[in-house]
Parts: sequence; structure tokens; C-alpha cells
Amino acid sequence: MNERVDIKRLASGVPGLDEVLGGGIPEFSFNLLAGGPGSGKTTLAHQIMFANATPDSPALYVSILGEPPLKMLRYQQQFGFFDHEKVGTCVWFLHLGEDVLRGGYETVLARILQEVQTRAPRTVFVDSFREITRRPRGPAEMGANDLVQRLALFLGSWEATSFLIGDFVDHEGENASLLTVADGIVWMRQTVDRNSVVRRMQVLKMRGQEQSPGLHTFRLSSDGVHVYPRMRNPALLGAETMPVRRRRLTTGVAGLDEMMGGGIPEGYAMMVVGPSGSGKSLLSTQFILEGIRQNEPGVIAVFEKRPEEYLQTLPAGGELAALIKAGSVRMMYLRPLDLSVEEAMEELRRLILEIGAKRVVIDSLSGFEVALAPAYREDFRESLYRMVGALTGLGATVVVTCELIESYIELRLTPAGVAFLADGIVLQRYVEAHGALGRAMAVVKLRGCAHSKDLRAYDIDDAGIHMGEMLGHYGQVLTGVPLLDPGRDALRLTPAPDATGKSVGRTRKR
Amino acid sequence: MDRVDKGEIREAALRLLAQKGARFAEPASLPEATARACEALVACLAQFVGPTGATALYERSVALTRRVHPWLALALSTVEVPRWVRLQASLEAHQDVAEEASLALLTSLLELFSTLVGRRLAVRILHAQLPEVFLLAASEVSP
Repeated sequence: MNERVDIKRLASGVPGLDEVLGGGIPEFSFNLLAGGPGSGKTTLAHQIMFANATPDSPALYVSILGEPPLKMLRYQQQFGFFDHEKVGTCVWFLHLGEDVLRGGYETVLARILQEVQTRAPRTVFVDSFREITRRPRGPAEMGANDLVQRLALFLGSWEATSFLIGDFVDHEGENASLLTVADGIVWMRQTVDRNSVVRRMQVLKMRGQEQSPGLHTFRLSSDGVHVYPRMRNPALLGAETMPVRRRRLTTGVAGLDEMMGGGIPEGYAMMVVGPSGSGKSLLSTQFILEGIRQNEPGVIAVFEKRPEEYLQTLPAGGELAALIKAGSVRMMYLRPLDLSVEEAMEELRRLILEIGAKRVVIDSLSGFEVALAPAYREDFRESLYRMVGALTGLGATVVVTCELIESYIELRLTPAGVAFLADGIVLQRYVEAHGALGRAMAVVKLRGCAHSKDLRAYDIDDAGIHMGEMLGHYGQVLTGVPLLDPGRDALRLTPAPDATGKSVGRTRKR
Repeated sequence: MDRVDKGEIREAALRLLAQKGARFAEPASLPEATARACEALVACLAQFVGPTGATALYERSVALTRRVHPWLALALSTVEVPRWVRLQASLEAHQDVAEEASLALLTSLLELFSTLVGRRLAVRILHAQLPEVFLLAASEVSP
């Protein structure tokens, strides 16, 4: 008789929540859904209720002094999870506003017990519990702590998984006894930062299982609550599972692949840094197009422009659009300005798994940062670290573009301090030569791999990026004003004009 | 479409009155049947919106019906006399228009509830409690 009890878990029916809870809601547990007004508690409760209610497992929603039931029915049915057919067949409502005002806690408890005995619900929701405990009571009357204790005991004995819903703004002081009795506590928060609203939840405890720590973003839409679990440390997720000798993924830019010893090592996060107009997006999309040639589907996440605009600006935009239509490439564009990294990550993960993507482009990091709600920008580096780890952990090779501030004397990236995230860095620079701007490219870093240290000129035309010659005859290239070594022939670093005077062509010797 | 169908509501009100003993050829049967029908309907609504919510809906329906039948004000409850007794008494005092007033009151209550929670949910809730009165369309019946 030493077998442990098998605690079953109810699926919450709320995307992302079960992962945060540590696998679902423990059966027969007594839980508290807490948070300030408008934080989404009632919606979360209804979503869980409708997901779990069946004729064999009915649900009971007890409202007390909170939102009137008529209004609750009116508004909750606007959500996609609301199932009209369940109301009155396996979802039951009980309103005890009058009872609490007239009879106190004893009456409330008696009415709940009576209804539970009649309906035998498997899930019970009591909303708003906070309002009951605020009610003044007589000296001989049952106290709120007694009510909680008895309710917890009774509902557990009747094999009901229960939820108290309450407008709590902190988890200290007068609420302490309730927090002690509860098996699980989910705290929901809504904060306004400048013009963006950020919703986050925290699972303070979940007895019998390991909940995911920290604050988790959630969004409230017409489908209900969607939780975006905070990404864990990539090392904990087993992200570093790639073989020591990695396959190389060609970029579609021949000379660049040579500089990297055959391409980007599989599972690497590669950062392409350069000033505006240097060809970062072009290089990234060439990487995706090359992937299609190698039968490796790809995903592009764009943040600065809408997909149509983005494709219009690329020489290969038409080809890419056709691939997107055919389904071998997916493009992700999320509503900017109130995004969380987790939300972007979940959408990316969905697209990667949907087409089995091997290549992922994030264009650009600075655009991504701007798209985030201000509250998330503070943790951007940390979140990005987790995100890159999670993406490479999915087996994807990631190319991230990053804006370079051209100071010519140092490598300054925007956002600042993100270079450590990358396994490799390709640097693009402008150089001044012959009265025009030319371009030079170098592989600055390729973790654990031998790579060329050359600075090579490159051109861009309608066919894409073309690597030119090594700028071996020049010095001080990174200052932006290269000096030709005495006695050497000059290279043309800028596109040569064609017969019409338009600048076209490759880097060549003058 | 989740619109309130006045014809459907009127038919349901007639079925409810008949279920509660109304014989339309005998006006004397209407006051008691109407009082019993309203009591049943309010009790049914109270299951979902609570007694206070159901009473509020009923009182609003009486107020709407009073525009045409001002004497129906007596239907509101007092401490001494329950509202159903007062309703029956007021209808008995106006038997010439009792059928019209009864139907107006019941359809008003049903319309109000349907408007607030939507026809689909209203029918579901009422059907769950009074299945012979509130019928589901073929498309609303679960397979």
C-alpha cells in the first residue's frame, strides 16, 4: 500500500496555460484566480469552465457580489469559447447576491453545498470571492476564513476542482489565510506602460507539480485568454544538442560561403550587421531562397514593414512571394508596438513546425525591439537570448539582421549589447572610394570555426549580392576611407556605370 | 442571425399560457394562467441570472406593457401581497383586454431577455427549463 496517488490533471483549454501550470490543473484542487479589476479573471474562469464542462462533468458558476449574471452571460458569449449548447445542460449558474446580503456566510455556504449536491459538478467557480470576505459581519457569524476552510474541504470531498475568483491586488496581509488554504494560485496583472497595455500572469503555487516560474505574458482576444509562457533558459531546454561537426548551410552568396568555410554551421544564430541600405535584408532573403533550392523551408519574421512592402523592396520579392504562396516559405508579421518576445516566439515556433523550417530570418532586431511593448524592452537582451536558444533548439539556423551605427571607429549595434547572442557575425560596411560609396564585407566571428579574416568588396544588383575581391591592397578600410598601398593597382569599389550611365556591375579592377 | 423573432416569441407565449391552463375561448381562465406563466418564467430565468436579475427583468416588462395597459401597474409586488396575486387580480379586473395584456407582458419579458443575452442563448436557457414551451429549431438540436 505504498503506491502514490495518481493526481490527474485537467486540461485548462487555455492555450499556453497548462505549460505554465506544470501540466494542467490538478484534479480536485482548490484554486485562487486573483488579480485587479479588468485583469481577465472572469474570462479565464469561463474559458476553463466551458473547456471542461460535459454532461458527465457539469460545471457550476456561482456569482456573488461581482458582475451581475445577466451581464456576464451577455458579455462572455462574445468569446469564441462560449458554447451556447452547454448553458443549461452542463454549465449551471447560481447567483447568491441576495443570500450573502441577507444571510451571511452560513447561507452562502449552505446554498453552494445544496447546489453541489444537486448538480454534482466537477468544476466549481465562485466569483467574486473577494467581495464576500469584505462584507461586514456580526460577532457570532461565521468568518471568511471558516468559509474558505469549509468550502475547500467540502468541494474536495465532492471531487470538484474549484476556483475562487477575486479582485485581489496584493498577496499579503488579510488575504494570507486564503492563500495558505489554496492549492493553486494564479495571479493576473494588467499594467499600462506609456501607450501599451501589458497583461502578465504568475503562478504563485500549484501543489503537487512544478509550475513555470516568473511572469508570463497573456493576451485577451475574441478567442479568450492566450498565455505565452516565458521561455526558459535554452540550456535547460536541451538546445545544445547539435553534433560537434555541423553541416554547413550555404547562404546563396558564393564568396561569402567560402569565407565561412562552406556556409553557416547548422543550428547557428548568425547576425548580419550593417548600416541602412548595405544589403542585410537582401543577404537574409538570399539565405532563405538558397534554402528552398536545398529543400530546406524557411520562415522570415519582418517587423519594420508590412509583408507586401517588404517584398516590393527586394529584387527577389516576386520569387519569394510565389514561394510564400506555395507554402515553402512563411512570412511572419505581428502587430507592432505591444508585442512580447514570447508571443513572437510562439508564432515563429508554430510556423517552423508547420512547414518543418530549417532556416529562420529575423529582419530586423531593431525593428523587433521597437515592435515590443515598452515594458518588454527592458528585458530585451535576456528574452532574445532565450528566443535564439529556443529557435536553434528547434533545429533552425537563424539569421538576424542588425542595424549598425556607422562610427567607423567601433562596432556599435542597435539594439546595444546583443552581439554575444550570435554564434557568428557578418559585417557590412560602406567605404568611400572614387567619389562614391562602395561596400565591404567581412566575417567577424564564427564560433568554433575557422573562417576568412578578409575584407572583401561586394556589389548589389537585381540578381542579389555578389562578392568581389579582397581589399588586400588597401589599408584603413574600416575607417571608411581606404588608402591604396603604394605601387598597387586600385580596385573599383563601387558599381561601374553602364552605357546609359546607370551604375551596375561587379567590383573589378580599374 | 441572432435576432429576436417576434412571431416565435408570441408562439412560445401562447404555448406557455396554454400549459398553465389558459383556454382562449374562456377569458376567465387567463388571469390565473398568466400569473402562473409569469411566475414559472421568472423562476426559470432566476436559475441563470439570479432572483434579483429575474425580478428586474419582470418589472421592466411590466413597465413596458403599462404604456398600453396602465392598470397593469398593480402587478408590481408589495410587502403585503405577492406580485403574482396582484397580477392576477389586475387582469381579472380588465377581462376584456386580458388576453392582449397577458400576451404583451409575456412577449415583452421574453423579448427583453432575448435582447440582452441574444436569441440563441435565450432559447437554450428557456428550452433547458421548459422544453415543451420553448422549442429548438431543427438546426439547434444536437445530433
